[in-house]
Amino acid sequence: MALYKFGPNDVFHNRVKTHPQSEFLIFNGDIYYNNKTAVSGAFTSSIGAEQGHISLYEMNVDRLSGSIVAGAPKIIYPFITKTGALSAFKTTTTASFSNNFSYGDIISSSYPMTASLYRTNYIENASRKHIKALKSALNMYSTISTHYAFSSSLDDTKGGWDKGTQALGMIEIPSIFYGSSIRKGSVKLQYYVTGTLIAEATDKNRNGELIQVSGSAYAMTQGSASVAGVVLYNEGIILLTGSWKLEDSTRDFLGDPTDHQYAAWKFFGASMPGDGVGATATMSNTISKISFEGTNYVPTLTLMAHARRSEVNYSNNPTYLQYRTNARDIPASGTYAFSEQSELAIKNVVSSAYDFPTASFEKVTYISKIGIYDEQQNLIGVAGVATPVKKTENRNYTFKLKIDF
Amino acid sequence: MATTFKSLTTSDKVSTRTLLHEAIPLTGTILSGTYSDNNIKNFSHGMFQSVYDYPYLSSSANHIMDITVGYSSDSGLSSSANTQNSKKINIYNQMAQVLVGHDHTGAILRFDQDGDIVSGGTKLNECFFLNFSRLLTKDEIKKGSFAITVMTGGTYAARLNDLVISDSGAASDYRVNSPAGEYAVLYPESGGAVGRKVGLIYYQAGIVVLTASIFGESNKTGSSATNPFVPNTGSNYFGDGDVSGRIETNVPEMFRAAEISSSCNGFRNRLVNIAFNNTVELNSTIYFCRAAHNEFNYSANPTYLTESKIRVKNEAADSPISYITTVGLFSADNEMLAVAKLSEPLKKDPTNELTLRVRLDY
Repeated sequence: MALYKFGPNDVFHNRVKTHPQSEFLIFNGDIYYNNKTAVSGAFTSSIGAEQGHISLYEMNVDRLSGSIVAGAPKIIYPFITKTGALSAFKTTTTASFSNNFSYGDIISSSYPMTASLYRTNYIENASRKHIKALKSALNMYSTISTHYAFSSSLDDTKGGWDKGTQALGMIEIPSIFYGSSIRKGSVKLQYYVTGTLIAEATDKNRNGELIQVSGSAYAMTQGSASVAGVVLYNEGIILLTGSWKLEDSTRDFLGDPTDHQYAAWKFFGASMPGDGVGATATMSNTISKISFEGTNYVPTLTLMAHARRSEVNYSNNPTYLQYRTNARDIPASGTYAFSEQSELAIKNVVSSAYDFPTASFEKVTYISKIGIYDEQQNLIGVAGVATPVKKTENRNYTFKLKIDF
Repeated sequence: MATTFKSLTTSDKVSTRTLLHEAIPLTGTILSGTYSDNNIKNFSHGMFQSVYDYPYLSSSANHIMDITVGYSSDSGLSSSANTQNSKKINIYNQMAQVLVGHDHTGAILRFDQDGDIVSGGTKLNECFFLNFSRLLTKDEIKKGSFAITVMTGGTYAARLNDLVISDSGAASDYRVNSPAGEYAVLYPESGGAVGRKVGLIYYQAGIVVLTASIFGESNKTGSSATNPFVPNTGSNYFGDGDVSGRIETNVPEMFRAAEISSSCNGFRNRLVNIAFNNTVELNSTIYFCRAAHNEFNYSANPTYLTESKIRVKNEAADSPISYITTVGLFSADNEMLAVAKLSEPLKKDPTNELTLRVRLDY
């Protein structure tokens, strides 16, 4: 087996840019991810993760915690022993780690870890520490669009704004759905009533502004081409501030039967996890749909392995040599020595039209695998070819190996 | 951006290894019954059976283990007249050469009951093999955590006599003479068979080898007096009844006359529970970043100055104050390699010293 060193032109580092698509549909307290409904199993109403959620490790398929159903498989869960390394789960607070666990104690967590959209509704002047935490980020992006600005006296029809006090809705998108960032120009919000599209907003200018681009005649009269909110692409957050009416009837967007509101962009996605609205009669014929694309990078390593002319023409495979029947050709071994004949004939496998005479001898090998070694000659990877490649002395091959991370 | 760099000395760096575990319970009904065997995959080669945690046609299904059986060519059961005789021998040899290795002549060693290969002793010639998925075993099975419960008595339709087999004591009593890593002996936990050696568990490979003798050798009623694993009353049959029209069969007959998949079915049918903990090694390097009393009290942040004066100092004699928010780790060439963020800024002035513990996991 020959070892060759990769040259500077044999190793390429690239990254593949991918755009995974996601679509969420929110209907009266239910959320659907990419139009998938919950799949019920033998023991649970939704195997894997809750409907509309994505499971991180995809463990605990159709498993129940405890022994609720006889024969039901129990939950797989992680645990760690408290040691001097002071390692713990992220969900274990520092105070709990110090006060509740002694060295040697078991600290456990739980699976599945799931993620989905999360909405927080802020009424006017409500306390909002999460919005205030975004102030720096919002102001930083205000060079892209003035609508990012945390507060502004921009002279538009609304007479300026202050995200620290105005009514708004915040939709958080976990990064597992998009990767590095949300793709600019791909965000689309659609609001339906009884199956009819009432209003649609997109970031058509790719600058984070969610602009109302289509909808019913009523909604377009109220806010055509107006900015309904902004998208923080890198943070995965949508802030919706549009307060103009999208329809001329009220619904329970606040989860308060005594305080029905007119449909507006700031209420978009109501009844999503987190906002506490839940299923109500007035919301039962509305649908909010969010679709977007992510930007995810997949690093790849491309290696060029060369089998040059007059190289890689010998094999250590025992069948490479002629079958040895003569006793002196067979390796001899004893307590102190192992000896092999210094001259052994290579089997001629060159094809001939006749049994005899055979074709002229030529060194031929068949390449079936390429091993990748590190500097210490540890085998760290093996690439197999679909079918063995015939290598003769006058043939030149380059094998392109690619690894994704 | 700080302009002060401080070199880390050897006493400021320490490497640690933390073991993260997962508790893996595999209830027997997953393996037989719950999904009407839609989670059991048989292959045309017939050499093993794959078990999933959900019907395998679903994208949600995870592969959890493979089950197969095999016997040594030295076994009394081996015969060219047997069904899949060569495949059963091949399975045994394949497992044995990976897990036990070869002797000085190149011959494949057989599974040894107590792991003491040099001194010979009893061999496990007819075995069930449970090959757990890497998804479940991760880096290795935690020593001393494995337990399997099988019903060794009764008939295929009416099983009884739970036998709990575990690697009790393996945390400190395990073998290292396998090419596949560390392994230990499996023992029954209760009943008349306590102390007997009934199998081997290979921790890094995630493979369990169980002797077939735990299911008894006779299919005659009440004839199991010589086998401590099987009750001495009633009928004791292992098989699933698909051998040559026989309704019930014993283990030797299954190994001889039935296909590998049939023996796997019989084993799954008698499996009550499997539980073990897995292990993942988390390697970390901890950097102790020490800010002495007279260090890092100033900031290069533009907001640190107002009207060309230090904001926090009204008079020259006032103490400087800074707030540490971030720790940057740089290479010897001053290339930034990593950034650590504090959950909240820490006030730093000449009256205090801080040691920030930065952990890098990989």
